[in-house]
Amino acid sequence: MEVLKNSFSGNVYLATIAGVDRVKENVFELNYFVHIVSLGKTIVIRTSTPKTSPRVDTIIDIMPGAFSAEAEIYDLFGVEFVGNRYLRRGFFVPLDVASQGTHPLRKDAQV
Amino acid sequence: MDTESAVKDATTLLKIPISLEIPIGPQHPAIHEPVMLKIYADGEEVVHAEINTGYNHRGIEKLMEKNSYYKGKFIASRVCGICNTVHENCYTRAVEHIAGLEPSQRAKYIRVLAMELERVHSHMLINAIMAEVIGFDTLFMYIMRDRELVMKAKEVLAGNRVLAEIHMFSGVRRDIDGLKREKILGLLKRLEPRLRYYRKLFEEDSTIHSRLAEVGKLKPIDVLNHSLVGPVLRASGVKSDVRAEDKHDAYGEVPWSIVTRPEGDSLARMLVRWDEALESLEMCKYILEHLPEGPAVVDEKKLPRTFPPGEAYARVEAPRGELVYYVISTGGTNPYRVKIRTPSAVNVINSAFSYVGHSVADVPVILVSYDPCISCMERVTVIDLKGGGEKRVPLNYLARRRC
Repeated sequence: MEVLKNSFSGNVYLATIAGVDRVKENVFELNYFVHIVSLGKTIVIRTSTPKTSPRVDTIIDIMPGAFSAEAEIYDLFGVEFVGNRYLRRGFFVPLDVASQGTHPLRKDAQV
Repeated sequence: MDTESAVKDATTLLKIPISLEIPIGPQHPAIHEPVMLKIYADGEEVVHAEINTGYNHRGIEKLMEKNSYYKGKFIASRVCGICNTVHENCYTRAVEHIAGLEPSQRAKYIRVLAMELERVHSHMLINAIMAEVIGFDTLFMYIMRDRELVMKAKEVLAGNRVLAEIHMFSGVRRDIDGLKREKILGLLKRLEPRLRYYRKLFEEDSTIHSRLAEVGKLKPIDVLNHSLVGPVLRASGVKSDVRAEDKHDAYGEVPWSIVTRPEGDSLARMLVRWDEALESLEMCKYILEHLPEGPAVVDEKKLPRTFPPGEAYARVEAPRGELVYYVISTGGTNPYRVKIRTPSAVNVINSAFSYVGHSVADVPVILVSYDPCISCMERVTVIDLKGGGEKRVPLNYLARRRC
């Protein structure tokens, strides 16, 4: 991510991170959509993390704009972003749902 | 006891925080959305800001997974009341990409017309709210009165003032005839001098100038790093607009130009919005005068009930910035996953840094008089200098100890 940012001399922004619960593969897929302003194009970086221990390194130190996306994925999917100190449950979902340990966008979540 | 020996003999040090925690929201007359801004102020200066969200999470992404693509189109336009057309456009284009559908040329022009009318009224609304927040209520009333002209034009076009519901996969749901065309043109003709007047007012009025200029100044690199989009990005001199980059629908054929300003302050952001509204007005007129012939309304009975597997990422320039839909289909009647990223999500949550260093009165949402609830004042930190420990106690505990 840092290489990408430097190669376009900072003229990029992170559009969003889209988390997907892939039931068949038993993984959480994370799609990082990075928009390159000078080219007017968006590129996708795809990674995945096992469902048993969902952990990914944070990119908040490289792109502070990842904060909203990482906070959302932590709250709705339960993927932990290692190094992001600002994550907390109840950022989007109501506290009564968060306190039960439910992650609403997982396919097995009953809402 | 003199001061020097007092320092030497001291056993405890009291650290009294001078910052006040001022919660603004979630329900507050100055902010029009249920979000909570926690401002930490040292005197008049903001030293830290936190954004708390979650007061309006309706689980729309999950709802769309549970419903068919057709119901999803109507759910999408209910994500936001003000910019509903861009939501349905974005979702429609994503699903069209998966299903391999293509709208007709006339439908593309009508879609752009609906979206640009929406941009005009949305920009007028936010400028009216800005006028209200800085205490210029008369201007708020005037702008809202003239905004009714655009709402009326939208009603003539789509049948509804607010929710247009004009999109359908591979086309639109309503066509326009000569009578409607003349009516919309007449309304836009009445609106144009008003827009030019308001733009001039925002540029020249000394009250507006002194409240907005040099306030909330953002450097282009900060804006990009924090993923702020839309007029915020363009008011900091970054030339980025989805309409120009993707040229979706008829944006590649209608003449228009990207509005940017180099200043990066609040005034620049409002002026970018006025310039864009004028630009949109010209686009609407061009579309009405150069509407291609042919069918536009799609026969909904002939549309597919099930959709093939695939994924699509669609972007659209909403009035507030880049709106993103990411749709995954694994075949069948329902989408597997729909990810929505609205421009406000990044512009509100990631913008906490921009309040720091400004006076409390400059935080626009605090401008309307508010009786702040000072919840942090009852605590001080006690540091045990000999033991090296630190603990927090309420202020009334110290009062009882008389230290």
